[in-house]
Amino acid sequence: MTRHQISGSVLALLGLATFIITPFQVNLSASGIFPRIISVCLFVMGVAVVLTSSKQEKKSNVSLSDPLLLIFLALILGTIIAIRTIGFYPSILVSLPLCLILFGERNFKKIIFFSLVTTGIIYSIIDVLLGSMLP
Amino acid sequence: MTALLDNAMIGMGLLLQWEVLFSAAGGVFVGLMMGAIPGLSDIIAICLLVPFTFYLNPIAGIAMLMGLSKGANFGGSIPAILFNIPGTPQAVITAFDGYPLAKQGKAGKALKVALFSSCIADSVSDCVLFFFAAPVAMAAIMIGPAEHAAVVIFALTLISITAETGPLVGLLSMVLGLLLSCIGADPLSGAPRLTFGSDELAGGMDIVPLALGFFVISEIIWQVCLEKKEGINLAALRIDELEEKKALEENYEEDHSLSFSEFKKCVPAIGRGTMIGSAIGALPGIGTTVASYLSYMATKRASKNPERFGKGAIEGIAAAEAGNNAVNGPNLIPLITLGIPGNLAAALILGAFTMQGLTPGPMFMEQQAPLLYALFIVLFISNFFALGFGIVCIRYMRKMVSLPKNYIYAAVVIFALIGSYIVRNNTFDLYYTLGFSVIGLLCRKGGIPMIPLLISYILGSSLELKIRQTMDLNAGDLTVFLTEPISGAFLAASVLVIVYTVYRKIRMQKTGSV
Repeated sequence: MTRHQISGSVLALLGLATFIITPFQVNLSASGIFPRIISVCLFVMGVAVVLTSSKQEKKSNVSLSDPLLLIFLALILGTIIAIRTIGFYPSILVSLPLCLILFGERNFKKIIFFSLVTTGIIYSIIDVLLGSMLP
Repeated sequence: MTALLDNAMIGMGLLLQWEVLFSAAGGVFVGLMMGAIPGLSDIIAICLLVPFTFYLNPIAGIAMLMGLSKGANFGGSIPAILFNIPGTPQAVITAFDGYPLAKQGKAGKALKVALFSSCIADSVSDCVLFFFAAPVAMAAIMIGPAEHAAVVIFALTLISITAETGPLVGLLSMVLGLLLSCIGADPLSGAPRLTFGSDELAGGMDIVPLALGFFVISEIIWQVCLEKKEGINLAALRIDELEEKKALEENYEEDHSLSFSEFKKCVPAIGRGTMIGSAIGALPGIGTTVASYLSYMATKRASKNPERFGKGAIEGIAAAEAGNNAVNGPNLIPLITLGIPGNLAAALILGAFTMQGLTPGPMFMEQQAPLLYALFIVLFISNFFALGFGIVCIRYMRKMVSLPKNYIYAAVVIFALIGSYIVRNNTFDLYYTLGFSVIGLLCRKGGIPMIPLLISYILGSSLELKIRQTMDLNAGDLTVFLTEPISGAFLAASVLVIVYTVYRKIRMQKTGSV
């Protein structure tokens, strides 16, 4: 199967699932009309893509199981959890250096300098200039 | 005409605040810098700045975003001309002749042609917006909900079928965006739906966390993985090496000046590019890259020496830059008069309008005329900021190309998280951003174009509202969409466009010319 056929199949199934669950997810029957019409369209379009997809289509170079990609997503999730628990600035002071290391930087002096300067700039813009508060 | 001048005069009064002009100038400058950094497009720049416009008054906030878009448009041509590395997608065409000229030691000449062409075309396109927005808005007031819904469907169809991955996949993406727009409150009754009992989902998903996840974080992750896979060191691009390489080319003779006779040669190309770009800009979805390409090809065909194109013809640079910049002004006409964004940048600007409590649409021009004319004027003034910054900064902007990307990417990710939070001061929005980063990655992997998805997500609620208003007015009868002449014509045009594009694609597949 090509990547468009996989996408088409997944979205057709999503359309079908939405069509089935919509009546249980709305308080008024009129609220469900538009989502149900759209879910039928999604199903039909998904099937159309599966049936007409070209075998010559370009393949994607990046794998979703690439460790770099997964670690990066985990790092962002960790940062969000940290922001909600210990606050923004301490979280950034940890996640920014980790992000730089992940992106291939190995000069620790530069990493620390950049992290401190960036955090300082963010504080100046958000707290001082805009008068807003980060969590 | 008198009303137009009156509104323009009141609009001028609104501009006499330092905040507005400073924001526009700041937007142009930041756009110029971000456009000059390969990998950071105008879209990423707008996504990152949209949340901060919340802290400015409406004119200043929108002026900053529009200035940013203008700055990034020219900024993208700097690395394209100097190193054949387009900073923005539309700058690819500029590189056709810009880079060969730079290799001959005439980079300064090429950059000046690009700058003057951009600013002239952009100024003319802003005049088109200034004079044509009001008549289109007057026509838009007269249309009812059925016609409005049909126009939205037509616009979404155009945006979807022009997706580079193919028309059917584009339409699939558009339908997915419409489905996502159903999550949250029903636009008519306000009752929650498809929320699975979650209070956080009941309020709907804000456009800013969605765009930041979709277009910024997923783009950065994708770029990093792609560059790692292709063995590119994120911190390794050295402009000194690239400059030395260029100096070894044949015919290398430094000449960075642009004479008046050379500029005169570019005028027809600028005029042609401006007309093509303005016409394309008024249509939703077609975009700057197509305008740039069509303008370039038209100038090449009109030239007495077409063989010079691709080898450093200054008219080629002028045509490409005029074509892509002339899209900017007319592109705002459907946004302001109908609430329909013509491209992704306009969709994000629509998000900024909404954040400021303003709703573009048929009545917008009537209710907010002075504000809109103030914006049109500041758009025009921004071209002078772009010209000024361009002239002063051209020689320094080349340094932006060599900034280590790993630092830029890390900072962009952190600013995206901040932007996601500060719009509603809600940490849960950070999860939306992460969720949409994952969806963005899945879309990239699955070859699903993301522009139709985002634009249909933005327009989904208004489309549903208009459809249901029409049904309420006609006792639930849907055939009214076909029997009303205007809505029937737009729906028929949508079907014809889809059938023709799909037929053409299938025929191309059969003949093997994909």
